[in-house]
Amino acid sequence: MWSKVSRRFKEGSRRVISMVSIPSYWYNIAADLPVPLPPVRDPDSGPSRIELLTKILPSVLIDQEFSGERWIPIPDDVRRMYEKIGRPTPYRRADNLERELGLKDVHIYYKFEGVLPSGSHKLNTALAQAYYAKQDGAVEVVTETSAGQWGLATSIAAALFGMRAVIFMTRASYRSKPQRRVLMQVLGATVHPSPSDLTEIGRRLLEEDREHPGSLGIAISEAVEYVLQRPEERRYLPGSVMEFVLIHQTVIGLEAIQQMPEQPDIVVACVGGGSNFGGFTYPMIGMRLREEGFEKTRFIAVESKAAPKLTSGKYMYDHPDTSGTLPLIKMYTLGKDFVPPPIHAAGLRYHGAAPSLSILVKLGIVEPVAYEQEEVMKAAQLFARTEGIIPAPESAHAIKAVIDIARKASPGTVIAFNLSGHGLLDTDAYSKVLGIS
Amino acid sequence: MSSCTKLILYLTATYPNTETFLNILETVSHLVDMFEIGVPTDNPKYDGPTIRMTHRGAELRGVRALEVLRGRVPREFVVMAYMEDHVNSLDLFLEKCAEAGARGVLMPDLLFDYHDLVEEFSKKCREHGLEPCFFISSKFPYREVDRVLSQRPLFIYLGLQACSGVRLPIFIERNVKIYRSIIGDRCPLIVGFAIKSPEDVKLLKKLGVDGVVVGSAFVRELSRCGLECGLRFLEDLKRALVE
Ligand SMILES: Cc1ncc(COP(=O)(O)O)c(C=O)c1O
Repeated sequence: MWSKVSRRFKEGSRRVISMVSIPSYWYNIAADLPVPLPPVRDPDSGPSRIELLTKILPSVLIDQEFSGERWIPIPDDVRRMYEKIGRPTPYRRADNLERELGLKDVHIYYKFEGVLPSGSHKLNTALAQAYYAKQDGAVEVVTETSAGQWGLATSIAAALFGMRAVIFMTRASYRSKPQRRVLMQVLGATVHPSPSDLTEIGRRLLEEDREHPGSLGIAISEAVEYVLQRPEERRYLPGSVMEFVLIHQTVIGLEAIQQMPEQPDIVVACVGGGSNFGGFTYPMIGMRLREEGFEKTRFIAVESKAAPKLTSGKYMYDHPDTSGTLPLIKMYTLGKDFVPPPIHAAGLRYHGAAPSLSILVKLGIVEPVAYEQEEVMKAAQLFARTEGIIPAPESAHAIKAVIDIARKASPGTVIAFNLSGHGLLDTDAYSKVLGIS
Repeated sequence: MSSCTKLILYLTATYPNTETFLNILETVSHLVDMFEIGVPTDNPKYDGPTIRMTHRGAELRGVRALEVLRGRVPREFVVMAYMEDHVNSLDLFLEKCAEAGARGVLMPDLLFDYHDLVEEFSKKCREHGLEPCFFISSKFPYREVDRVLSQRPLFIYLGLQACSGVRLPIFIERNVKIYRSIIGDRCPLIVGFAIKSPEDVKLLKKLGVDGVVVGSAFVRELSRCGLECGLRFLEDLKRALVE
């Protein structure tokens, strides 16, 4: 009863009708990795950050972070919500773009998460997390956001489950991106510019610089500290990096695999913390690791040159947050104190990458590339003018890589990428970078 | 198999001092099937606050703490140490373990941070007359379990929690069932981290584990009211296991 009929067109406009259903399980790649994920750790000094997790995160999410289960059942209520928000999302052929690039027998497909009410993939995990927070008896969900994509998704999830949302938004975005902030407020959320004077770390940073632009790492620290002020009724919801976030996002790839008319040779997604990348690619990488398919497929992770952890970071234990309130995880990182320059793809301004993605990069199963924002936004414009979709600046990083790859690809190559969000609220990025006033 | 679920006690060597430590070994040995003895280190990276405290508080550091074990451990025991501390002098370290009388060696960071050294570690253990033991986490890749099993270990140790002594809301029944079913009867499976009550060990016994390791909870009993409490605590666990 959850399955939906979706139409897709195969080449030569032959119409194929196929059943694509919302998955009943999320996929946990930990079970199939070629090497184990290094355990989370406490730092040498101070209180146990691991112990603190029980006061910060919804309990089921902690369980999922440490679960050995390969297939994790999606609760019926969450699956119903997935249907309500419009899953399954479309998987389409970018044939106009192919023509514009003059490609000969190179096919480009994309999974489009921008059709969700939040405008991005972030809602897939926000719904699950809010659901589990409510199960714990929490009445308020708290989080960080930069571009506002995650904050908006959290605000929608809170509204759908009848909860309050409190969002710490990096000051740079709070100023430059009022659109999503207003929408969060429309949905009933309270939005604070970060650093704020509601937390100790915020006050300390404001003392150094009243106009501190903030960063995702700082906003995470503030959100966590704010939850700890009243752990009985608040829960922190992380937008990326944690393994359970990537697990929830695997609905993207699990749907896509059902929708693919042909198996891709190259699969591409952008990386902030790794959630849309992992969500889209892990079900495929998992099949490859289990020798069930995608044997020759290349997986490309596209990051911003402004936060190039995968291409220039170090693989080591580091905190996911700037204040070091959360346990150490082993990942590619630029250091928890790294404050990236304020680029327009704010969702990619993060110092680290999910531990599983970091391992896959280290093993050479995932290949990272980094791009500058100017070339990325030009690619976004080309996509908009051919496919009619304005991509989010984050997702545009994937598009830039796809275009570069497609131009050099040999005939017969099939490319698939995740279009993680639309950019209808990113007019500032488009106007500044492309010089449109 | 579950009718003989072993009770294994973790102790950090020479904590709180050599004399007390040796006295504890003697006093509790009739209740314990095996000891797991930790080599005191400055960087007990996978341990929680309680065991970290014992590493800081131990009288001796490193292999010097192993020397006092020689002929003084009244039961079968394995040595627990971090590969990070011994990777550059592994032969010497294993020699010391053998001299101390250990049956096996467990290096919890081996499979995670020194993944390439698994075969070499096993080989060297055997050269020194020791049996390799392996630590896996609650989300360990299924296929890697097979690689570990091919080393014919004395046992596989499944860490039930994120670190020792700290209990998170993790559904341990599910995780134990997964790894018990992958391992089957190919190798003993022992479990540890944050086990602290007769109810805990009863549940784990029911799940078919071959041994349970207690560490932090025992230390907490000791600091609460001394060896008396420690003994009573182990008696309760033992009773729950043989019931
Ligand atoms: C549309 C969109 N894509 C991608 C990202 C990057 O995050 P992640 O790597 O977790 O997918 C973000 C983050 O805010 C985003 O909003």
